[in-house]
Amino acid sequence: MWLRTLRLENFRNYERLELELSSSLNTFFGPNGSGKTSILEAVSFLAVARSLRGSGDSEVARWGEAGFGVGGEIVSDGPARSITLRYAKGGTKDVTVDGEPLAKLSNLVGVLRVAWFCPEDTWITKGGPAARRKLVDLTLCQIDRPYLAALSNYRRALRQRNEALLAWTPDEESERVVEVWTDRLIEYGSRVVATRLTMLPRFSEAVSRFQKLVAGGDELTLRYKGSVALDAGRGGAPAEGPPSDAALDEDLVAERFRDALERRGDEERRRGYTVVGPHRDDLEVLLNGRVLRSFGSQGQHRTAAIALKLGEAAVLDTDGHGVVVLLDDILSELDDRRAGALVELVGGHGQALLTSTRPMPDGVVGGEPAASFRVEAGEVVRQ
Amino acid sequence: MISLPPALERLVQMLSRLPGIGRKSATRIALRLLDGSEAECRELARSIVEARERTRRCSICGGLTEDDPCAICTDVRRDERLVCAVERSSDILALERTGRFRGRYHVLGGLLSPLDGIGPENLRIDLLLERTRSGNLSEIILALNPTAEGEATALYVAKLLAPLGVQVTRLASGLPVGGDLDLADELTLGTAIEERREL
Repeated sequence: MWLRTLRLENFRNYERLELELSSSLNTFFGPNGSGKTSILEAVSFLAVARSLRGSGDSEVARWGEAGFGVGGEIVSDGPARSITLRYAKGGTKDVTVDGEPLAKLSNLVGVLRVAWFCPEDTWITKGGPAARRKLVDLTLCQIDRPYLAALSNYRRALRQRNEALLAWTPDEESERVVEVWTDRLIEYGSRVVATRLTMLPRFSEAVSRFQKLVAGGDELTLRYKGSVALDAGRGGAPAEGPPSDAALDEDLVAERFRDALERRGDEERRRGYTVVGPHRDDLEVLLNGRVLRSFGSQGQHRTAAIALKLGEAAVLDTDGHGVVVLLDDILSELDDRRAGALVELVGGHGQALLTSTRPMPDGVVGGEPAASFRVEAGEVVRQ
Repeated sequence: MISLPPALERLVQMLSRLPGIGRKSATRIALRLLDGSEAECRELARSIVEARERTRRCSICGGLTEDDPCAICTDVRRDERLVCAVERSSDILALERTGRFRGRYHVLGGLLSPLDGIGPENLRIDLLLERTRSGNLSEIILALNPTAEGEATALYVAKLLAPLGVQVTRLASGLPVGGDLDLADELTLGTAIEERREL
């Protein structure tokens, strides 16, 4: 699967733009603020119906315009599919696939899969767990629609439960309200955790493989650090590495989740919010068996980030669906060796869109990029 | 920018408060009303006021009615021991369209949602319990949406009903009738597998 055509209308600084893309590497170069990232951002709208740059819908519309549109044609094994997304300020976002309006925006997710890599991501192994959870969630949501539903239900149930805990008073009715939201939390939350755990070995294997390709000898692995102890009660010390198959079972996760919530029930009622659950979990990144976050050098973090992002792309591509890798200004963050390895691995993988303030320096890329575009003040010219 | 004459502007503002009607639609409706005859406008205004004045909630089920108790609650051909609990009175209309349900109804008037400040005391749960205690009910069907709020409310009600010895059921979820397995989304199909039944 790859994106053959991209159309923008009143999107950021583009009044109208239509691009024919290459199925491998597409490079967009030009000065800062010329509109390179906006092209990647438009692709993210076709994939997940929102900006992966983190902007609100209304910020994306061209200055003075009441909305915007993004369209694209996706080539895969079957017939080409055409996606159109329209946003009108103060309200609606509509998506059509092959001319058919989608009842729910979430039905779009997964048609076009993307992995987004920007300079902030080079700190993903150093910062807090939220960024790593986001990486896992964004990956899983694109390949597993029930996960997307479970996650959004979980977030909803979590907010409801926190509100119920905040209003909690020591009486039967109040307790019963908390109980029914606990039940929802466990139902959706255990599905979230079980799905994450099922995906983890594949992800960890891919990350480890890419780490070796980029950096040679060091062993990079992933470990799920759950706020619900999945190994507890099975005897022995906490398990290292991915948990055994038994832990992947949703029912077992649910049981452990319930135990953990019961154990910390008093604390939750005192504090007025939920203290255990997948919203507090972490994806630990280990370099040669040690948690990278606590000791890694800047170079080690950057290499690990590349391996994680390439691993993400590999997981998104697991069933041969194909993935579009979006690399936003990433070369500026990396030395030539790492940049070269990244571009080569990405280019060999499938379609990629890359932005850079300078044309691809000689030697960074093994082969010629398949398509190169010069971007300047909202004008995009294929070289 | 030219603004609308004051009276017309007021009408547009009133209309745009209605659900699903934005300013654009409100303006179109208002202009269409002005194009019509004065009699037509009076008729519309009168029917709004009349509907408001005559319609009330049934004191038993909470459904909309002109006569209290409502036609469903007084229909002796319907099974009074079988009660279907719904979120809103509009859900009664949907279930009645099926023609399959011959019991009575109970409108809860919403779903539990701490985020919106809706607790048990804001719903007609007490009245359902009272009905169950005094009415010798055999089964209560909880016909609530399969959302987080719907499921939480169903569980809440079920917990309170449990000691009363009434059978509590909920609507099945699964494949649409006449649907194609190929076209069902993973969630619906997954639920259909979980909730499969013996032939």
